[in-house]
Amino acid sequence: MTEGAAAWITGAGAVTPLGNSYQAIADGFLEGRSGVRMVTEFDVSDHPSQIAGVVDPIPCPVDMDPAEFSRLHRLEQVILSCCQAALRDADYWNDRDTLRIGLVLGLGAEWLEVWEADANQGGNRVYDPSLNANSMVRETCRRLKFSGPAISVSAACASGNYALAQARQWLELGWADICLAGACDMGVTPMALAGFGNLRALSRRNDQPQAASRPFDKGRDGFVMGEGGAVFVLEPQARAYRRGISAYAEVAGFGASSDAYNMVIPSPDPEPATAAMRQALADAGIDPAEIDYINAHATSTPRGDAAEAKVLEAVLGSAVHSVPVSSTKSMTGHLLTAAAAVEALACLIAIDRGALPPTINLADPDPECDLCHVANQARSQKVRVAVSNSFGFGGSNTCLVLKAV
Amino acid sequence: MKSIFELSPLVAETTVACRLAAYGTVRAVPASLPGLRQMGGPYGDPLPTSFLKHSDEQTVVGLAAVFQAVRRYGLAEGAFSEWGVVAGPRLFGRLAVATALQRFAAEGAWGVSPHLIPHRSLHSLSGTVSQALEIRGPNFGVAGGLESASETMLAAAALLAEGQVPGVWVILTGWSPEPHLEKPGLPLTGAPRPAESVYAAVALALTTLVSDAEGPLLQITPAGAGWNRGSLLDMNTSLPRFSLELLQEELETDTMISANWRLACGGSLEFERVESSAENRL
Repeated sequence: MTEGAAAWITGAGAVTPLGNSYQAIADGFLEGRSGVRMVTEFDVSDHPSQIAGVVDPIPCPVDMDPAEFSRLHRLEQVILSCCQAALRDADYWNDRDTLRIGLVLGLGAEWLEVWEADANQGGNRVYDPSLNANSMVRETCRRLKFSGPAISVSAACASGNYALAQARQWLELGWADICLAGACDMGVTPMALAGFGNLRALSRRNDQPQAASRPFDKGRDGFVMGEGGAVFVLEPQARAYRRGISAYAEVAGFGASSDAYNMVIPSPDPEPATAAMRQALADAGIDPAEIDYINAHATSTPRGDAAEAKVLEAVLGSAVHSVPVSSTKSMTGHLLTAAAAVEALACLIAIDRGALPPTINLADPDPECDLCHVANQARSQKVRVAVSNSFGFGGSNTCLVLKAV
Repeated sequence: MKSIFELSPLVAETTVACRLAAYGTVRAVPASLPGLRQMGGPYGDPLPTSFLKHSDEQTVVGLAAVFQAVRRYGLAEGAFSEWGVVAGPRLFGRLAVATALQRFAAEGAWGVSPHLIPHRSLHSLSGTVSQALEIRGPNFGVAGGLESASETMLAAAALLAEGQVPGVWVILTGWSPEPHLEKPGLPLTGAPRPAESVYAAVALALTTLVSDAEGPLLQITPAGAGWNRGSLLDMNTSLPRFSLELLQEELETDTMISANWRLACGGSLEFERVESSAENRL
């Protein structure tokens, strides 16, 4: 990144199981509140896992007809809500048609979710290709009058970090004046809940929904699905300066690698994920000891959490027992494609509020995950550098470094 | 890893230029898919047993296109272990999801295959290629809709320009043409049925520019970007829209000298073949 061209985050919009506003989400994270509950939106009596982090009704953007909004697919509702909230937060909403606004969205299961919802309503989109003309990214650009380039990306649960990295690069290349980046996923659907359940990836602690997501705890038995999304406004530092607007943070570093090991199971070799973290830290010019907070990927699966702990030990070295680590999936569940974006938001909240969100339900830490846990309660601490790990199916490993500005 | 190519400055502020170091193209009729699932690796070694058993058809042909490129250009084993993999399938997993929906309706939750999500999500193609060739660089999927080809080229260009990887495998796949799937009681439109369609795939090995590099040149320029905003937008209206089919057709035609396409996500893609056959240069 050239001088003055650092990518700053100047706006954020989100829809999560903890709430649909920055204030509500920040309060939820720092109160250690769980957004997980029994799924009641459809019949789950036959599902092995019956719980999830589900969002409240999605706020209709100002300037949009509520009746028309209600007819949209829930994923499209989340995208529009997040994009508008982010642009308003950055004070760009009224100027959006005069700017080249780029859009990079992590959308890993757009078509699966659209086809399933359509089929449940008696539609035939999955059968008839002519009914699938426009993607949600293109629809978003049309509805919000964006004129810059727009794409969706997917690296499963790491998608949001890839989106932020692409957006930063687009700004560097001058492809857009500002760029919206983030990820959304409304994956709590009958078929996805069944598919992950049959994969034996999900917690079956159905009688204790709020205690089911327990990353790093010895009693963890799988992840809990979640849904929602987060979108950010990225703009060059110089532009933010000129506008005199405050920023949440700088997107200071990004690293990515692949396990090349298995489509589902994380590599027992920590080297690939370690390489992604080291690349991100080098990109940001940060030493491990300078990290104030790590938002771990830790999904609450027995194998995944222990594998990440090995990665953190390898990267942090002696600092592994002093750099605070938590997994906010303990509160939101695992938002799949949207996870990295919502966890980037958790990092921004830590920077903004000077407090670290905890890993709740961490009653009995697994000795295989011997880290400096922020267990069960938020911790007051000034945060200058926050790191967010996000790994995903397909062997993806990513790491994002956010610096206070 | 030391790359055979080195990063050179971008040719213009907003244009990413790269070389096409190798490519492979595949057209496969549905009946050939079972055989393709048993294909061996590009270096004469077998793939792990059942490696492609649960993969989507587009993953199978996409991987076949990559293998073809590796074989045709004699790319050395491990030469791209640090590359990126960017895949743009089109309406990915449609056939499997249609089947899964019918089975879910009939059998309930336990009828959903645990392989559905790992192998029919947008990242599945890039992840499988990464695993098959032991590529440790970034891998991700792009778009998944009808305009996947354009979005994928843009994402790959940005990744390449970032300078973190020496090269990027770009894989574009889709049914060609998109068929109408059969559903009991649903009248068919004029669209072809699956048996009348083929699976198409193109794999491109893109590298950064070097002064002595040969072979086709690709230049990717988004619309509305910087100094060329106005002229590019004007020019775009007259260009053919970039697609998997157009690219495949051009790559399979040795007489092609250059082509210029409009990217559906905004911008243009210029393809300049500087010599008659790229096969001579590696």
